[in-house]
Amino acid sequence: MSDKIRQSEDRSQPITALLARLKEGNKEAEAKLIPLVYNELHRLARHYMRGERTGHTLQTSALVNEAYLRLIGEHGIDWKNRAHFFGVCAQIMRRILVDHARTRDAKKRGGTAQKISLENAFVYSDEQSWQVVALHEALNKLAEWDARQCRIVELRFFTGLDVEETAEVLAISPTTVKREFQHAKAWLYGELSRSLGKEDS
Amino acid sequence: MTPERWVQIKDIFASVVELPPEARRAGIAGLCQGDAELEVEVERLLSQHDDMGGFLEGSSPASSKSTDEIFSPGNVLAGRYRILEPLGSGGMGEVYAAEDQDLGEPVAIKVIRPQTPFGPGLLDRLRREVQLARRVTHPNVCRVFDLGHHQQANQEFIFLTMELIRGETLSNRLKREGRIAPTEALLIAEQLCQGLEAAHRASILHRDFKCSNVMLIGSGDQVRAVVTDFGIARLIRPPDESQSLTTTHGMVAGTPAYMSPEQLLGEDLTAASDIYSLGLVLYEMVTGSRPFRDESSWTETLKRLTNVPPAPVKVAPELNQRWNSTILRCLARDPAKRFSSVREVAESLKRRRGASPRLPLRFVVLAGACAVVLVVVAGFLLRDRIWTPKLPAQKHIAVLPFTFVGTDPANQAAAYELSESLTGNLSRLQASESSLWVVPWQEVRNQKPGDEAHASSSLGVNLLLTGELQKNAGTLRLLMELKDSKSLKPLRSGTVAIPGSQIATLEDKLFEQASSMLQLHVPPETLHNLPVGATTEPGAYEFYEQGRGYLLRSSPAALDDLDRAIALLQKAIDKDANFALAYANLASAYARKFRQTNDVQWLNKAKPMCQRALSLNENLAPAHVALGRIQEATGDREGAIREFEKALQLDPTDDATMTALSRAYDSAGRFLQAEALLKDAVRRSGISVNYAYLGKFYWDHADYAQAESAFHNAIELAPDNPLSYYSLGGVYLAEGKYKEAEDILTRGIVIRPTAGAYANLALARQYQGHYDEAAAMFQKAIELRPDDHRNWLNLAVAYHLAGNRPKAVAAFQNALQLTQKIAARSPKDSGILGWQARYYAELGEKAKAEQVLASALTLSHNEPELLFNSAVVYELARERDRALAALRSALLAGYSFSEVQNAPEFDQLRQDKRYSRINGN
Repeated sequence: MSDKIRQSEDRSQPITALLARLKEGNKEAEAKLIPLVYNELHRLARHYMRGERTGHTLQTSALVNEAYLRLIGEHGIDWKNRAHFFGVCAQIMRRILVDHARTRDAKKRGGTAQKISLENAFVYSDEQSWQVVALHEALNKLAEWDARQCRIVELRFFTGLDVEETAEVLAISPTTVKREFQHAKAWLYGELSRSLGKEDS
Repeated sequence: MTPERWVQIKDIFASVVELPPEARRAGIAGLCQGDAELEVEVERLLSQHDDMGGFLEGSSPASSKSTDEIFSPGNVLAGRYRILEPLGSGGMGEVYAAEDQDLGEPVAIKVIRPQTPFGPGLLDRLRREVQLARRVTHPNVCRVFDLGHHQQANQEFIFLTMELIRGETLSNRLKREGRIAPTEALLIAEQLCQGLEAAHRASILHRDFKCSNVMLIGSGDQVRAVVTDFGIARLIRPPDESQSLTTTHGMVAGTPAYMSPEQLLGEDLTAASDIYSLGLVLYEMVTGSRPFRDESSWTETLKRLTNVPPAPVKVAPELNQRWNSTILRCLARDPAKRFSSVREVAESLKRRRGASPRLPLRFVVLAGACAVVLVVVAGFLLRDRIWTPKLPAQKHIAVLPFTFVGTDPANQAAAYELSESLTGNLSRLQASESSLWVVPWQEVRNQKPGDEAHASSSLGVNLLLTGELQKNAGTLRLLMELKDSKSLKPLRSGTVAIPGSQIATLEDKLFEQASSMLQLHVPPETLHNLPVGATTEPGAYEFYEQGRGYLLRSSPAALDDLDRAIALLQKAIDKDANFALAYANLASAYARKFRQTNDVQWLNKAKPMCQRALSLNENLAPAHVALGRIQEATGDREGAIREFEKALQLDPTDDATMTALSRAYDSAGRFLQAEALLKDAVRRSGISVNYAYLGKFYWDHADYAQAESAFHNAIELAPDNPLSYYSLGGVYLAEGKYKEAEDILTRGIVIRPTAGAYANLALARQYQGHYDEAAAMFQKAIELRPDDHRNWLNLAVAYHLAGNRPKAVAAFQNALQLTQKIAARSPKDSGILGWQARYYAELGEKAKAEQVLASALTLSHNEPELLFNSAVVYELARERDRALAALRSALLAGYSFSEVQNAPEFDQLRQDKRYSRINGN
């Protein structure tokens, strides 16, 4: 047990340093962080999604938090650092979920876009794999128009960052986050309703 | 669209979206300046915004604002319920006080929000939950009456009628007052426990227990607490609480703020999940806040997954230790480490400090536990001993292990197996023959073959069936005798002789013969020429029978028997590659080998055998049992449960499967099901052994009062079975009733001396300060069972307490040697290595101790016993920091605090200031 702790302490050094640089706006730091975080997240996701049982649920933010605690530990890191870590995770989480969902029966459509909801973060379950794929596709479209809105949705949806934290990661004001998120949601809702409607007919 | 256009739309949308409808229209007209296309785009976005409800959000401002009541006073719902007044908005929708005009009684009506997405499945589930909830009548549970439909203005409303409780929710009260003082909180907590317990007894889980589901009527010492919305709330969730669409599918449940870790991870829920939520409610009630509450709400939930909550006493320093420890135990992340029942929560809250049973040393108790574990042999209820010179009307029979005339051990094993299979076949007749009671094989197997004299009262039977297998010139002959168990006078006898080539039919022939001797009618369908999954290959059957005999006899102390069983079963398969039963038994043998060696190669061998057996016959109960064992070994508890359930369905008479299933339920935290299964066995067949199983279950759950009464029943029903006596003795010890323990153990020893009885008796003396006598009795236990290292440990401790260090050292050395022997055979058994390390430490061999401990800890790091042993090793090595850390882990893993309190190894450590911190004081 003690070995594990030591290990994560050692590994956390570069990550903490990278996060600090990321906070200062260094984009290279993000590129270096992604492989480190990806491995951990992917391993955790596999761990939670393996097994024969169907109907797995996965609280995405729980996963990210666990990765965070494993890689960095719970001490001496302020919430801003954590927000940046989560910021790195958002895209990875999206990729992992979409990859996973696509291996499931993601074609099965049912219900309406209203059903895509979250309490602070998306709870993934195999039954909703189609939603992940649908949202992913809609987000790709949104990114063409408004990359920042896409990023806001990613941060809020895939890792459960709140408005303040999202603002910190993107270095914008919380008011802007709220306003942009509201617009993004309305737009995505229309997009998803139309794509789901098409599937139904 | 151009990027400029996108920004334009976005800006207009942002500036009008929060406005009321008229102002919006005016705003759009002004901002779009006649650009009709722009207006259309903005309007479309706005209407999407208004439609989207909780899309991508936890809460939807639009829907939670609609507080207008649907019904007004005077409205009559479904032609029966007249609305009196609105009571407010509950978790699922509007709540009204109403009058049931048919019965003239007041009721509460919960109207489910019309916008709740209702699938057909959901309504069915709701109906089922209402049916279940209706079964609970308890003053601390809000009664649910009915589910109704009401049609109004082309809209269908679904509503629930329930007991009208005029009070205030606990969450409101906390909002007003912050927290509730411990005296009143205790009254509330007790009532909550009683309410939850009543529901759990009816196999209903709440699944969404939280402060807003608790109604309080009155306050102070008159307070009454009522739990509402059992099992129902989770199905109907208002949009502002639906944390995911899984709720609308009915999959995920609960309010995240109160959800247990397993609930968050989407695992199966048990009573332990309600206990977790109860812990959070208690926490909030006495401290005014939930753990991690100061963080954002998702962090709060997540932290519960990964962190240990801060002790309540840190938030509310006036709380005493029992609140503190009770709440923390409810909040253990691992369900198995929480209380096993709500009642235990209440008892733990009420228990006064110091009044808790003081169990001395852990290992000492373990030996007691071990003695009880070994036990449970018993017999039958002699309801009416109608005795005639011929056959009794009530046939209470035990088939004693058959003997083999000759020295070939393989044939002895075969004889053993034949008596087992005959027992199984006869017990199948119990369903149609109410006069017949057959002692399960598991109980008989511990009888010595020659010891017929004791069988009558120790097994509680009036008939014995004995048999002798002979083999000469290729013919098998089995002589059977049916005897009066008291006089041992033969009442009937019979012989079955078959040529060796027809050995596969021997079981059936025996069955026919035995049932005719017993004057039992055998329904033709019960008789099958071949047991299911059997073979027609004569040689194969012989090997099988011998192999199975060895398998039945094998025990941890007799590993060679297991190896012989494996070799013989393999031979049976070599002879007949389609011999399903042989595959199933071989799989069981491999699984057992794995349990004894922890070497995964045996598990890998077991799996294909099991698959083969099932592919040959998927309804072969032993194959499902074997698969269950394999899954158990790989940690798949739910899988194991499924297999055992299947096996029990296929063969409901098999006692071994029943106990395996109850243990599997137990270790999966499904305590209520485990208990129900054992209680059901008692109900179906009130024989001594079933009471003993139940007693053992309660013992494991430290429910000593219930264990005591169960073992009492076991003794009454089979008064000469010594094992029930020392089980009961162990229970008395745990209860601190030393005199009673001594009495009952002495009685047991008079019937037959056993190591367990002496060990427990020694403990009773030791607890009362008679160390020399205790040592002498441990010696007797060791004489009877010299290969159990814990007996030596107990002896060492007794000598230590008596001040005889040299003898204590000698005893520790013996204990060490025994663990070395076991470890040589099972090098991956972390538990044994932990003991070994501890013995080294006790003997002052610090380096060896640390080395062995290190290898134990690489194998496992969360077994409470191992952690406790490692704490002893560290403390004896004067590594206080590590000892404290290990002790803390042991406590977190569920090790009993009172046992830590009493360990002499920690006499000094307990003086350490940091010690008070590790138990959250």
